[in-house]
Amino acid sequence: MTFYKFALFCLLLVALFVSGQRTESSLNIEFDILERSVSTNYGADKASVVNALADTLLALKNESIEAKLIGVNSFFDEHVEYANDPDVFNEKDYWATPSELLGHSKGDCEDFAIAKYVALLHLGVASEKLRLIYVKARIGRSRMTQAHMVLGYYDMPSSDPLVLDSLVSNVLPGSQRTDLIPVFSFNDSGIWQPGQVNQTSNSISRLSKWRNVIERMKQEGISRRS
Amino acid sequence: MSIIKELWLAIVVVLVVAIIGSVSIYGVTTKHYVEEQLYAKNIDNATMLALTLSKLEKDPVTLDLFIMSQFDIGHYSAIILKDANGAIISDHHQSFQFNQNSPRWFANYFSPNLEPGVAQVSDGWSQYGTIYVEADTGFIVASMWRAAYRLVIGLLFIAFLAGIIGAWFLRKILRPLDDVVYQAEAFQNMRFIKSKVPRTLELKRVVNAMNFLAQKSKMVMEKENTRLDLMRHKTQFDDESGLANRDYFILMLKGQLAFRDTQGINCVFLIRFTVEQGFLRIPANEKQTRLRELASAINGVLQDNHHSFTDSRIARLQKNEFAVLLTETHDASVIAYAFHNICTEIFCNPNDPEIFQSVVKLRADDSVSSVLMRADTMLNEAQSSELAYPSIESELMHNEPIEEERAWTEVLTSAITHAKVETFNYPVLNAKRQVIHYQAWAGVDINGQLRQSGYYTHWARYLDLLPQLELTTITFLIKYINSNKAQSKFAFLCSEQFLLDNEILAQLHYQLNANPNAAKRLCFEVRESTATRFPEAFKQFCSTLKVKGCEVGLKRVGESFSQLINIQELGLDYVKIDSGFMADIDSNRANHSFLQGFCSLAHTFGIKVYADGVNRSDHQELFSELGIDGVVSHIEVIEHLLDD
Repeated sequence: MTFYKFALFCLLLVALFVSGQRTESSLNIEFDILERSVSTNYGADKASVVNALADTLLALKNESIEAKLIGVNSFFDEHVEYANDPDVFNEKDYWATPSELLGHSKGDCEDFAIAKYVALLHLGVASEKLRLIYVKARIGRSRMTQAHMVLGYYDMPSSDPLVLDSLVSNVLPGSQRTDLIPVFSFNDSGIWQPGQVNQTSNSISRLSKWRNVIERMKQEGISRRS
Repeated sequence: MSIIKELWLAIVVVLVVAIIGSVSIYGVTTKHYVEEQLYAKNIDNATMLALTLSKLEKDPVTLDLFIMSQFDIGHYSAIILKDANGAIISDHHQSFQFNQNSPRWFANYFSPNLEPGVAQVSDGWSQYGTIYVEADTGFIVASMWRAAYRLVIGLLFIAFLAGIIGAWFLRKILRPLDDVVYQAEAFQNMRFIKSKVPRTLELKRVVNAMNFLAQKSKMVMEKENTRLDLMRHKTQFDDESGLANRDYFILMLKGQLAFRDTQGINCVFLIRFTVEQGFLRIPANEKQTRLRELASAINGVLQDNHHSFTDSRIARLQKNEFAVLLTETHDASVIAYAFHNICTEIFCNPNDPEIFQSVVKLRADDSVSSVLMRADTMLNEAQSSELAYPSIESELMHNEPIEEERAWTEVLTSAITHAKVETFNYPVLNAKRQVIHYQAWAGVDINGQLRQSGYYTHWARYLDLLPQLELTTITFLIKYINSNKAQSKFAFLCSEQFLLDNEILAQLHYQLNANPNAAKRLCFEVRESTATRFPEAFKQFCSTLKVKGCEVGLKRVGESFSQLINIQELGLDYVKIDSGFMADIDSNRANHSFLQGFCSLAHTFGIKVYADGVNRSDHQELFSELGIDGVVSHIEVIEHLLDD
């Protein structure tokens, strides 16, 4: 009798394990979870920003792609203040999740880029059209440059991307952004790809910053669901 | 399956499961770890490559050259660059390099299952393509196989060591179990032996319980024996001398005359001391001391000469007369002189009585009264003529001439060599007149005439040929049983000399081993007096024969049963009550209660009781009332009857 119970338990465990590995397709933000996460960590007043985001995204759902890009860009410009990582997170370079970004209402370039990336994916923009781009940014008219990150939207793979920049409120094509020199780009392909078994999810300590932030987002209700 | 085999099986199963389990766990863990590491490497390499390619001039030849150089120098199984539309720009891959040292099934199960590392290559602002990088895993399988192989070898070695230690430990644990099983089986055979208490708790409890039972049965045996002895002493003993009384002696003599062989030299010694000196009037306790001294002296002589006769009975016949009955005696005169000397030694003081002795041989046509009268007459004559030596009947007096000794040696040796023996078989019947077994008496062909044991036994014993002769008879019986399809058993009475002859016993054991079926149909018995005198030899005799499936019994039982030590440990199958107890069974009331008690005691220990010397068939009811299980019939069964 005990043996059968044990066997049944094992089967159940295997079933759970298998179902947990199901394919993920479109990204979805679970606003309930996100709100709860923000309100627990940063207070109920910050949770209203999450609601605002939900409302904004809902309103943008059926808009054109340009409207979506502009809407998302302006939402984060409006609600989040640009600040350097050492001031906000006491770390030299910290990749914040949208919940942390909204919770602090502060963040730097990559935090903006990630939040916008996630928001656009939520709105149904294909991930291969979006790339997070490392750029070299010239500040003002000086010759001084600094490392910066923006989000690019590629209508076609070889087309000039529309750039969503945390420092500039307009959404402009890359060719017009002479102050930026692209260095390297990436997105979540190979990480969030449908049908992929996530092989690194078991050991957080070994994750890259990008994977780390993806893992943390999952905890906050942002993940691909079939 | 024996417990040791089962335990071994359990150990082997556990070890096999442990080895398979640890190797599988090792394989799965290592595979998982390697997959994790290599996947990280794939991603990093892809990102590195993508970063470099993003900075390069997007000339296909340059890109291909760059990728090829990476592929050729590094450890990759594939590097593929696709453009933004999915068209392949550069593809370098090698098929899975299977290492011949690792088996195919191992590779199938434990090859790392890897996703390629993916990274994006850009060209200025625009997307250029995607790069896929896969690491080579062939060498990993080979090294995993080597490690697994070492692991198995190592575990087998440890298992082997564990096996050696386990064997030692198992033997240590199970050794007491053998003793417990031996004891339990002994109990099953009604042998209530004690055994050493083992250390293992459960076994200890079992052994303690069984030892308690053994102790209990020993107590029962001793208590009952004491009670029976008391009962017997009242009617059959003379308190003053500690010897049997006249009634008992007459019974024994009656039994001897009625049921024993008439060919042997059986004699009665009558020892008388004179009363004229007033010995009988001395103070009672002094008289008792001196009488007991005399009795023990006579017993001492019997003890010293026990190899000269088969059986002895001693009693105080009159106030001043002792009688000794010896059967199958050799050199009766030597014993007579020994009696005379020892008695005159004891009565050597000035006022002590004088000693006279007469010795008579029992004749085939003798009755109790005629024997005693003859002895009495001779004694009276000796007394009146003041004979200073025993008066011995002329038949006993011929001093064995050398020629006779030679002739006997020749005759008996030839009987042994040529197996000129046969048996006289008397059935032992139960209450329903069914045969329990046959009492087989040896008969030897002497000068063309078949002679019963009484005729030659004293000579055979004197010449040290008796054990050999008995073995020859047993061999004859075994052959007879093997050729005879009937399932009846045969009981054979072994002499004291046989019991003590280790060489002959070894031969007997050998023969019984060679004929296991015949062994199961043989019953070996010795006289109660023999068993009492040599308890260790008898115990050994019992335990060895019981193992071989033989039955073991006692014959001529009654007088010294209580002196048998730890009889409950011997596993006796039956006892045969001395014919003396049966001689006047219908009239002797006192004997009834003794026999009744004796039977119930014997039955408690699973011992059957048969009565010897019964020649009437109208005692059935009385016998079943007393608890007697069977009687030795007095009519010899001829062979063709046996064949039925």
